[in-house]
Amino acid sequence: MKYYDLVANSCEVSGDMAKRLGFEKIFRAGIDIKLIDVDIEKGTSCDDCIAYGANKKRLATLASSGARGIAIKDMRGDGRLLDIMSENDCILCVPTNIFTSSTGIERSKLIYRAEILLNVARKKHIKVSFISVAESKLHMCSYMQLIEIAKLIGANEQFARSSISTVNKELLVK
Amino acid sequence: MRTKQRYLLVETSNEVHEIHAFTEQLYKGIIEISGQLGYHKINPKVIEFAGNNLFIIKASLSGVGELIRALTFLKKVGNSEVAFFTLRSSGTLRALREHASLLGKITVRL
Repeated sequence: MKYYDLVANSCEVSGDMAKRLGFEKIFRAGIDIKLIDVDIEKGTSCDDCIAYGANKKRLATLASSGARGIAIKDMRGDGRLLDIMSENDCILCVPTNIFTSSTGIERSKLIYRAEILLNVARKKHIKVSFISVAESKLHMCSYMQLIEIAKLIGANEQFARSSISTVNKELLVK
Repeated sequence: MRTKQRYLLVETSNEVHEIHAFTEQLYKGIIEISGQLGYHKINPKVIEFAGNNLFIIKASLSGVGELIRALTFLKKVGNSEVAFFTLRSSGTLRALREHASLLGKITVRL
């Protein structure tokens, strides 16, 4: 199986490092694919991009206007947003950097919310992708670590592996 | 009765110079993340170092997933920030030593 990951623009990764971590390729946001932070940027159209943020209305607008993936920053699910994502065949991205960069109770709450979000997404037949979106080397993960995070929030082994290989390929490779 | 073990080849983002102090701090970090009960399930032991940024750690078969998660969330050992990348897991030490030697590192037993 070939695995793929996405890191933030600020994180430089060599091909050798990607191979060592078990990935076929590690993509960079802003270079290989557009990553829009909806809490900062105000645009309404987003073809072939990943929308990232906590504002559900903005995320829903972008999901209906052609976004490839939606990443919910605070991991709080929203029924309307998930319905729109399901209708538009939009991928739910789970950025693992929010778990690695938080600590203590804050991290526990995020894991709990992510578990609920993943459950609802699976019931609505939304594809789920796990990406690190690491801003520095400190928050990067190997493919084994991404699989274990996916399992931590309720995915089984097969689902976790396909999320990191097939779904990530669909999300990141044009 | 012997319990089944699993070995992990782990890379650190920074170079490690004081191996024993680092290992002690690493165990403390794993306890902090997994808790005492989780630690008991993992039963980790650093087996050997390969170069300054690679080491092999042993865990019980049932606790290996927990160990990978703990290493993912562990970002500070002692006073320094460090990231851990689990490169490979195996049931035998030999396979990991061979992989470490492919990466140009010679292992040093603790």
